[in-house]
Amino acid sequence: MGKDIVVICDSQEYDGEHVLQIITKARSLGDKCDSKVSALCVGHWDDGKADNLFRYGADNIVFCRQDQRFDTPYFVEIIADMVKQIIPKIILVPATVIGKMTAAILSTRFEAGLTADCIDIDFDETGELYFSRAAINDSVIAKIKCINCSIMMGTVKKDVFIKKEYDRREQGTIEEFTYNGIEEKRSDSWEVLERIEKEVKKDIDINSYKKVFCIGRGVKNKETLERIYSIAEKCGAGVVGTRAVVEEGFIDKARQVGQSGKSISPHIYVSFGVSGASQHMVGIKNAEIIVAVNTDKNAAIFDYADYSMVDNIEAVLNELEKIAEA
Amino acid sequence: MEFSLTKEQKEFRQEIIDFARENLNDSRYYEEFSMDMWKKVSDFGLLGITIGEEYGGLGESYETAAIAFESLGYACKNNGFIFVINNHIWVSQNIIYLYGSKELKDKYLPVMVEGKKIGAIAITEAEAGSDAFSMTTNAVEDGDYYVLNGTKMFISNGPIADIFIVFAVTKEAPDKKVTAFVVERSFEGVSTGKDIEKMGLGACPTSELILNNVRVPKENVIGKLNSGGNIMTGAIEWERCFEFAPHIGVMQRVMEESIKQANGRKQFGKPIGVNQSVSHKIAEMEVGIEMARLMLYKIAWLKDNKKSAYLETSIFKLFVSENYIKACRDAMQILGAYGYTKEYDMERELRDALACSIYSGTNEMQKNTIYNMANARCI
Amino acid sequence: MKIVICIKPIKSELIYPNESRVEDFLMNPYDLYAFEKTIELKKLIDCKIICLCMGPMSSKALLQKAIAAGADESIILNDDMFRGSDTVATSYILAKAIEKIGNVDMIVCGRRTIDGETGQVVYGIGERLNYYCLPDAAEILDAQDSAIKVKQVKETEIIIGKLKTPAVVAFYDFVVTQPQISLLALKRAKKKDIIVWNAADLEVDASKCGLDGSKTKVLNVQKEIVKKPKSYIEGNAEEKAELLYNIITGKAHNS
Repeated sequence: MGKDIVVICDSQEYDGEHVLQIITKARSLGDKCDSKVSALCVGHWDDGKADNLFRYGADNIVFCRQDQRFDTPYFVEIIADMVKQIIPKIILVPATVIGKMTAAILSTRFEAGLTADCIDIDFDETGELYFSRAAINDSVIAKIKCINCSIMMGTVKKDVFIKKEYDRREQGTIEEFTYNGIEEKRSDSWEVLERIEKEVKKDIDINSYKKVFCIGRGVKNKETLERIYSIAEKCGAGVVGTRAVVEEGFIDKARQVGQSGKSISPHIYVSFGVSGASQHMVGIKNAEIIVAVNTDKNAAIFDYADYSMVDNIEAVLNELEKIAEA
Repeated sequence: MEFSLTKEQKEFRQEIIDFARENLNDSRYYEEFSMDMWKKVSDFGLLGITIGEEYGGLGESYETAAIAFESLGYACKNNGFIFVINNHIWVSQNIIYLYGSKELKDKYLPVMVEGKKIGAIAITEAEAGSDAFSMTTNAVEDGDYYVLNGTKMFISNGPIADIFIVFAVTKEAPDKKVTAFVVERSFEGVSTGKDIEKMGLGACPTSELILNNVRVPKENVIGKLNSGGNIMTGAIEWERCFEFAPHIGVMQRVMEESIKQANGRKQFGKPIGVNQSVSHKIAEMEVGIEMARLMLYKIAWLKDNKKSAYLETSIFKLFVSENYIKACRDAMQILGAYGYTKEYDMERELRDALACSIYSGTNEMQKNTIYNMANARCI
Repeated sequence: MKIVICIKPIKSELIYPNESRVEDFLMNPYDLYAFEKTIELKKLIDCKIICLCMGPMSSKALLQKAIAAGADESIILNDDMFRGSDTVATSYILAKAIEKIGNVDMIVCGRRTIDGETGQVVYGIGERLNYYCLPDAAEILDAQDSAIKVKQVKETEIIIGKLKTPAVVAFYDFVVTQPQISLLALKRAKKKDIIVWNAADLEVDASKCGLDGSKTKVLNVQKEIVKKPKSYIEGNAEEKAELLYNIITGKAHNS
């Protein structure tokens, strides 16, 4: 049984923020169980990038040079070959589309236990490794252990670990890896005919808002919606919404908060006409102050709000508009 | 006797509820008929619920239909639209299905089941309401045709219907007889008046039907000549059963709203439901629902067994309408000022409900019928 | 073209948390999206669509609905031995069933399930059958016997491409509203048999199924969101708006 911890670095950017976060975590696990941390990389060699990986805690870099553009199945085959040689104990992978694909294939091929979208990885009192992840509409945290297998794997969400430079005693090692497998085994199945740039809607980062106004099903017309936008602007708040209003086409999917949207942690969250379904509430559980305005006194959101205002949305907006303009 | 629903019936009910919630509660169409919603109902296949599969229907029992229509009333908040569906199915399509010749069935049922043609029934006249038999619209034989003249009043679905089941006098007093005809809107001399504005049921347009020397081919006579009286009685039975089945569902919805309010609204530091003046109103709603449901199942059973339910439907109609109106009235009281505002549905529910003590025979007429039949049984 | 759609039954209370429903299970909303997109393929090409569902026998209702909505056949994989399967075991069982069906050109999956939320089974199936796996599909634009034209939606771009079969296609989105099926189609579908295969039918290796074949085990779950005591703000709209404004601008502090 192997002893190493390996981190599969991103196929596009092998020293990206996400990877460094995972390297940091792997390092801390490695220190606890006295294991070596190896980073598996495919791509252009770059001294600076390699240094980065060492700086955040990698002991060893296994590097496969690929100067041409390569596709995902090829990447997966190279990584699989590396894993076969190392036979590690733990494999951590960024929870990106390609990362998840790679992890799922490796898990099947090596009969390894795999936990998706981990938010924590650690050893329990008995020294056994466990993986934590949000489950069932993000409403609960599940602790998962690997059984019946020698390799334990997890894909790791971005921003759940904080990258930290490691005070290294000895120089890291670099292993050049040559892939001798069959060239692009299944890649010829998919032929790209056309690439269309998506209209880059000024990449809205709803996580940057310190204050948000959230719109729910109780907002019934575009007029009210526009007023909320304009008041929000005056108050320096961003606007987000529940799945219901996204489906209505009232606001953009990128602004959707909740289980099927994004999680946010603003300082102040003000909801208008949000009922407070648990699928939405999981997305704002880290909000510091929750204010809810809803006509329905029994709305579930009042169970989570610091300030519960039972009132007509339009009436409150009217007044708020006057104050904000004054 | 069996009172538990089968698994199929439960699944059927779920289908209806899902469908209605998803497609029929567009508040833009509470006050006007929506052709788009009509198409959805047609595609869903609800219109042919009890019609045989040979005509594209589902061939379900009346018992299943009763469950389905109660569920429809529960899930679809548009009471006017349900009224449109009911008029189409029970008192026009079903009349052709039960009393019409094979030719009439072949000609009209498939298009009605598919919703391509909308049906309506025309009995009432300006001077012949409760006393329907005093109608003056008449039909005079002329070769292969009957020529119809007269004006029918308060015809639900009037402005949108393509097919009218028209009752006309074919034999004058003393031995006065009426006959039922299938009259198409496209026949020359058929016209409808403008939509009569009503207090409620806005989604069901209502108008006069004017017949001016309308030549109706003889094959469009439903059943036998001069047998219209029986057909009218039959139609009224269907109407009193299935137009009132959805009202039980509405009562259920109204009760759920009331319970929400009773538990959620606090006054003087307590939920208002702790007051018996509130909780007893809700208890009465539940009693009304449960009793009405029992009667509905009994009627459905009678109809599935091809028995008359004239007395039962009369009792049912009377009981449901009284309890339905009372439930809406009480729910509004429980909701207080909110209930009276246009922002809540309750004022509309009440407006819609009030009509039911009038249509399908006024409640006063029901009591006459019930008395007469009870009396006859005793003598 | 022979197509298999893998469908996970989801407890209906997970999809409709505030409703009591007659069905125990409903189709996973991601699979439903994949299903609806695949059914459209019938307009483009002559194909046979088979729904494959590992789960309890009461998943039958959702499979009948799938037939009513246009699928040709439905298969339930049900055996006590399958219980507790994680993604590794699940992909093994599904792959064995797909092999038993034989000559499958395309396997369609949803991106992930809303209860498991791993998205791993798709790739597991591809790996076991050695089929190419195409993620993030949004629509099938065209189809021939040996290839389909797919619109793929990525974060920053949309790709139109040609996918040679055999292959696994995973659709990226989900739908929450139940498909609108006509009552007549449903009635007819209910008369059709749903095929049931157990472990013996699939000739599976017992040590690779269920808990024995699983490589992960859920130790425990903890509730996460905490309710707060209700604190209703009294006053008229003007007073509420004023407080609201003060909160937003930091003039009021939560006590």
